[in-house]
Amino acid sequence: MNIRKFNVLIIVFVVSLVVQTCTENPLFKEKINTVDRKSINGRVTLQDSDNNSNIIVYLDGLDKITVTDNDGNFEIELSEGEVQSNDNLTGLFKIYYYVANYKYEYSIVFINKGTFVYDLYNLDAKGKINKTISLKKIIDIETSISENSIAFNYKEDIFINMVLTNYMDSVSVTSNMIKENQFASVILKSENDEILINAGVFYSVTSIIKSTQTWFMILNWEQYGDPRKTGEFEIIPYIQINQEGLPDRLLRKIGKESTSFSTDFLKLPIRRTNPTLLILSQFE
Amino acid sequence: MKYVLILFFLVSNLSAEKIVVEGTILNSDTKEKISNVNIYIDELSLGTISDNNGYFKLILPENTSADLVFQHVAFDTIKVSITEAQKASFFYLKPSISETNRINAEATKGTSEMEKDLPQTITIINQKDFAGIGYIDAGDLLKNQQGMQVEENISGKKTVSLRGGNADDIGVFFNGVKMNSTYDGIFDFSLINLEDIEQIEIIRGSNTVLFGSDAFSGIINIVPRANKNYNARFSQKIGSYNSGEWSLNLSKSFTDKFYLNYSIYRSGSKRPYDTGDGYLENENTNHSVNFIYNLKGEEKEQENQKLSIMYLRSSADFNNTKLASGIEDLNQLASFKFVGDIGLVKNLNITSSIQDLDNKRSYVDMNKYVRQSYLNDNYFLNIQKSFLAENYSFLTAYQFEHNNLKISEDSTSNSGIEFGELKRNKNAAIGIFKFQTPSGDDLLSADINLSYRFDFVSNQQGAFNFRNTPENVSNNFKARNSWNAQTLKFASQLTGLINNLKYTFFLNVGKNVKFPSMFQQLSTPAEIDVYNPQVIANLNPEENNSTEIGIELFDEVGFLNIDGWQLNISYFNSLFENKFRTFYQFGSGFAFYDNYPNAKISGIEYSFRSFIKNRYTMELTGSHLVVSEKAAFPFKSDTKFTFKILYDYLGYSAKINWFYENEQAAWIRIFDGGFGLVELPPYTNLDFHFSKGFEYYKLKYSFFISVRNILSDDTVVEGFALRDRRYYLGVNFEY
Repeated sequence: MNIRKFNVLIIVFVVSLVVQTCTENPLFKEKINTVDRKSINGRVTLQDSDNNSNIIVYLDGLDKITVTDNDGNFEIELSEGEVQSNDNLTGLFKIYYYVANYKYEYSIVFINKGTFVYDLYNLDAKGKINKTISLKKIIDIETSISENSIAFNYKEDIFINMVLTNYMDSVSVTSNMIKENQFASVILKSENDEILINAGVFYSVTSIIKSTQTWFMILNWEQYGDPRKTGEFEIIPYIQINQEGLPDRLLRKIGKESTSFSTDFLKLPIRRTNPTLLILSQFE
Repeated sequence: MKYVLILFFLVSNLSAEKIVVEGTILNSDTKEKISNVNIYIDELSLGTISDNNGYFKLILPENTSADLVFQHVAFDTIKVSITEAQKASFFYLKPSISETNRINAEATKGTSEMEKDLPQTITIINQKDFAGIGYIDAGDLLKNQQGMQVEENISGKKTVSLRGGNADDIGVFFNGVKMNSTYDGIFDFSLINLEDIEQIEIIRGSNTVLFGSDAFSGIINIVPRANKNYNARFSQKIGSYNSGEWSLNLSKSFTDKFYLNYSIYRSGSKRPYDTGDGYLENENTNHSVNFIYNLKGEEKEQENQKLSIMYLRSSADFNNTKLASGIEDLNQLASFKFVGDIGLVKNLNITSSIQDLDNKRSYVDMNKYVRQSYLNDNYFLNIQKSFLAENYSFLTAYQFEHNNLKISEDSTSNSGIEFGELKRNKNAAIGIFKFQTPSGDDLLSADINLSYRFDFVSNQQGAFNFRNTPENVSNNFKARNSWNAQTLKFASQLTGLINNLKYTFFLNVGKNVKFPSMFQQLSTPAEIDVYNPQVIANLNPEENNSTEIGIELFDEVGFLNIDGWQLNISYFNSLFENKFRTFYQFGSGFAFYDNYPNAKISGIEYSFRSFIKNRYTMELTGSHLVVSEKAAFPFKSDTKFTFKILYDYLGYSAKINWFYENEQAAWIRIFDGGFGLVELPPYTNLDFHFSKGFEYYKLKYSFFISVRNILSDDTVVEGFALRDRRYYLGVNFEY
């Protein structure tokens, strides 16, 4: 019996040497595969345009904004701080694609506790938006100007014409108008300068464009111009293109005052060709 | 009964005046001693319970001629005539073929607390099914259960849902003490270490009264191991993700009356990211102390009279070094329980507990640093008195609960709660009446059970401070309010025997009420949903009207190679009124709620178990649900199948657990309004466990190997259940 007890003690002793009481394990060292689910990507193109750059891509709800590269590719990444196992980042989120004179589109993605869930809704298994988004043009804005260059002390009227061609049945636009077809506001933009001009008393008017229209502006340079500014300026008439259902948050994210006549308006992506005006200094 | 083997070893001497029956009760398969067996005589209210060594002694009046009944929840009940029992000194009980016991009304002598409640479907998972193998916590085990869904968070937190309900629709009890968080009503099953558990009891459905009226989908009662068959037990496991755990249990009994037990458990794991820029770290430490004082004398009534005191302290820490986030949980529980008579007042059951639950979380959210702490203090008192008569019994109880929640939040954010205190008092009065038709005819018996519960809940607010919060948020918080509710339930069952086939039909009808949690009280009412104008946020209690019908067939004889089988089928229908739905304001800490006026979950559950050649147990289950409101009950699979095979012979044990869950569907709020359907892919899981036990003199030892989730090796962290393959090895020693 004593030998038996002794044996038991030996076994207990040996075993406790072999298996130390541990909360660590030298054998299995697996790692957690993180497959970067913080980011998604996709491609957006504009109908009838080769230039797919600078299309706004906006992740609504998380207020994240980015623009496309030349090919129309984009990537959205959640920052480390947003990747949390918290319920308050769970939901279906819309990604808006926006250029002011193209009809906006959106995709839906599912974010669960701060991480994108792939292979659901519009995301494929690799985290790419499952089809190339193509935005359709809604309106074409063609601007022309009566003068190509003026002296800084020019005293006459300059005429600016804007031809609005709708590509959809009806397009809602808002602009500062003096009277029917005569608009009031224009921005002159050079590399390092912006001049905001309201040529007269105006009202903010929303019009529905159902057929091609030509609007004009009479800019008396002596009365409304700034004689101190010289150089080459882009002529950008002020016109807002209204799109129903587009969240204001997106426009505010682009620029706080992008929906009013301000320098923020210039941040709105819009595809149009703007004429230039060269203002010559007195020495030239 | 075919399997009841009664071996006669010794002939005991006959007493002249009184009949003495004594002996040791053993497991017919393993020859282990069985404690806590009820030994009683049906006709007389006389009985006793076997002690730690399986020993019992019963002194009966002379000329007693009735049968002696041996009953234990995990074993088949046997009846032995007094004359035979006097001759025997060893009594063998055969392990129950089924894990499920449909407890009937007469079984008030049983070991499960649940038997005092209305009769209902109870699944009992005995420690034989989980101890000493590669299950790390209770969540791992419950994954394989019928109709249950376990969600595992990246932090290791595991929440369980049943019958399509949410995690806060399950009442979780540890040794009879409610464990759900006072704050949000959810319990983290990763805090329960399985090495120290005797059994886990699952009530499906919501027909409980004693366990509160707020458990809409069911109750899980975790019964710690109190009476142990060893002096010391040590187990060590190692497994995937650099994880290891060890536990040591020591138990000692003094003069059969005092019993003392201590156990310690520690575990840890470290899961590095493959990108090498951080890891997830978990550490758990548990201590528990049990003290039991048996008051029973030799000739006491059948009810076990005892006094027990328990202390439990468990801490769990989680750290994510990559995201600078962490969770610290500390749970301390002290409980006192008395069962017995005080003076002339007989059949009393008094439970009292103090619980301290601290939860601290820190994280960086939307580039804001947040550190929150939730300190819960709970006090619980339960006084029960039963009245027993021949054909009916009546139980009355009073329950009091006091909850105190202190919240504080350090944050670089300029909104949210800075600190606050909420208090809640809950009073409940309970009555349960059970009536059974006189059992003159063995072929058919019926019983009728009625229960009534009245709850009164009052809330009080302590000091509260909000940081620059919009006025509507702080003003909407209701500081002082109260609710009351009455619930009435009815249960009936019909039991009979045709040849060897025992059948039971049952019908349960009842109403449950759940009072808004403190979390819901602190949430903000959501704006009216334009798509569902009938959905209006309010802080009134939720209600659930449920009906369940079912049938159980039990054949102890079987056919072909099957030695016995059991079939259960039940259909249930739950109608929810004023069901809370929670939403989060995107990117901010604010939770919103609204109340869906009527949601419905109905379903059918079935299971088939069989026992083959004394070595194999096979179980096949299925559950199918229809969930009408997938925003109130998000991410629930509506179909689940489970399949289990267990081989147990000569110390070898092999288990295969398989289950399939179909798509988890949810209606997820779209950021700018409305809901969209999100479906997660179906999931199939396969676990394999193998163990071998040895015995050497008084030392028992065993080793095991477990592979969990063999089919999938997807370790992607998606924020959903981690579905990665895991390996575990381990050894156990018992002395």
